[in-house]
Amino acid sequence: MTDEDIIKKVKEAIIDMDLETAKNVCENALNQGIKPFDIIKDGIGSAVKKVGDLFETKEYFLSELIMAGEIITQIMQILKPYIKSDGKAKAKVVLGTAKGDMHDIGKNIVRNFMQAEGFEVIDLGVDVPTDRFIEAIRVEKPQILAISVLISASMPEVEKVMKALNKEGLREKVKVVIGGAPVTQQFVDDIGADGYANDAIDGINICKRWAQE
Amino acid sequence: MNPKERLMAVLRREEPDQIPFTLYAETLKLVGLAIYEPWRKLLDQGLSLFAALAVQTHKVKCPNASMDIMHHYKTQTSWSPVDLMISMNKPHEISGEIKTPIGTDKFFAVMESMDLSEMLPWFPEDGFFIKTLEDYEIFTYLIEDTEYTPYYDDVNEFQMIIGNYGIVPTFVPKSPFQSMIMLLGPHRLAIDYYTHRKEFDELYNAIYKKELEVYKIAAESPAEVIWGPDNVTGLITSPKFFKDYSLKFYNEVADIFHKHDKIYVVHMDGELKCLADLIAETRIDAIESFTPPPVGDLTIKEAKEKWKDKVIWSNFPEPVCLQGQREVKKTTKKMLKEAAPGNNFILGISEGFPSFMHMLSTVPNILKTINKFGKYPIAKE
Repeated sequence: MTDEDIIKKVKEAIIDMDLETAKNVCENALNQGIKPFDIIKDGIGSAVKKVGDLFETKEYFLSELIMAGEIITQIMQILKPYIKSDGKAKAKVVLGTAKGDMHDIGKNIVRNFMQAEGFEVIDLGVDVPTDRFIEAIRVEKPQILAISVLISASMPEVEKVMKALNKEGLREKVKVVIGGAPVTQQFVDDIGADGYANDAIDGINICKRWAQE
Repeated sequence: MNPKERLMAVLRREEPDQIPFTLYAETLKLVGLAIYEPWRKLLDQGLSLFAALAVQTHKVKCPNASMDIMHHYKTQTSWSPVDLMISMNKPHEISGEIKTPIGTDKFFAVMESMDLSEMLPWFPEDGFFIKTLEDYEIFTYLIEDTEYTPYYDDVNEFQMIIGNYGIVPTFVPKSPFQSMIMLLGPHRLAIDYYTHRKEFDELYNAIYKKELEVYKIAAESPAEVIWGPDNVTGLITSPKFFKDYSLKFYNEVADIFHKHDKIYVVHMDGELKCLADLIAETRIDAIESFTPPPVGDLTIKEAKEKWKDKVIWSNFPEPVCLQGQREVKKTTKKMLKEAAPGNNFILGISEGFPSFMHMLSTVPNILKTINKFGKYPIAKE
């Protein structure tokens, strides 16, 4: 079996939601001397794109995003010892859910996929107060701030973060993307954020676009 | 028509005098209704109450299992019993332990409030009931150990309290697949579905079998309306899940309810576009909390076309109130126009507002708009 065939099998196993096969093929690939970078770029990377496409065309749903994310996380654990990092991430992202919002499914999917795409993700977790977002931006100096909101009661909290960014003179230093069920383009425009993510995949695509700018 | 007659007319697919506008009775709280004059006025002006969470028609016990719960208030403490009573209703953490003869399961939850009508506890990602494969066995035991007995006293009592201002359904447990989501959490649900299908299906089947017992008790109750608090969204309950798990159950229990002349209402408040055709195949009578864009993804017009025989009980998308009261009025009028002539249509508010003040200004505005533009039949454009 050629290197390309093996990498293709990694990709197919992720798309087919087959965790065991994905792990086995990945280990075989390493044993055969295939570079981890090639597995990530041509196997995992193209699987992420395909899963994202299938999500956007409503053939895959949240469960498939979660499962793909889980497979990728486990594969990355296998690959990690073999990866010699060049220390260059696509971009640094600070991520969290708004204060009062304990829902972390969407945020975790974004985190897993972003990491697989080569972003450095600082995950602040759930129920993040404004001052923690501000502190993280000051300390970590990310290019992107991504806030997830699932309950409408937490939407005013996102607005508070935007106001605090302006007040602290940090607004021009970071791009802000907001996503989650109650969020609308209108809301994002009203509070002066830069991007509206309709779903997790949309959010990742926006960040990828910004990282290339 | 009074609010109750208006609501029941639509649920029976008869013609109302105008589009009913409902609010969960739990949102207002009965004590608030009794003493807060503006709410009383709104009721007299046509606001209907839907006491979704007031009544269950069964009692439950597990003779061979037990549950202990601890509430953690941490530094929110006081020497004063009155302060402690107040603290109990504030956000805090809960840990619990379920003991069965075959094993013990621990859980952890974050409680926003003791009042279930305000906020249900949210279980953190690692805190759902089922966290390991062993938990499947414990929960299957717990489910099979459960004994339900009919208890019908509350139905008439609560309807007497609500009077002609609305209806009191009986609420049943979430349907088996939605119960699976609550037990496993969306993350583990996905992982176990793909990696441990045997255990997944066995638990599902145990829930299905047990829930038929409690749904039959509800069917034989004096309640006219049965409400399933399912929170269906296509994002988690994908078409594949709905087809393979939910459809059969909905139709089996719908037939049981209809045999007893009950109206079967199911709460589906998420993204339903991908499920629209499958929902059409169910024999559910009303899709309650149906939420159009910008929160949901199916318009009222599309839903009416897909679900010709069903009542669409539409939720007013609450983020609109952040855009001001002019937008609220505009959106209400748009929803009424889409629903024209208004048969099989109810407008309600089933989700929380960003704040109490938002609710205070939005509810009267919607009611006033419906009273002016929602007389049946609404003229089509």
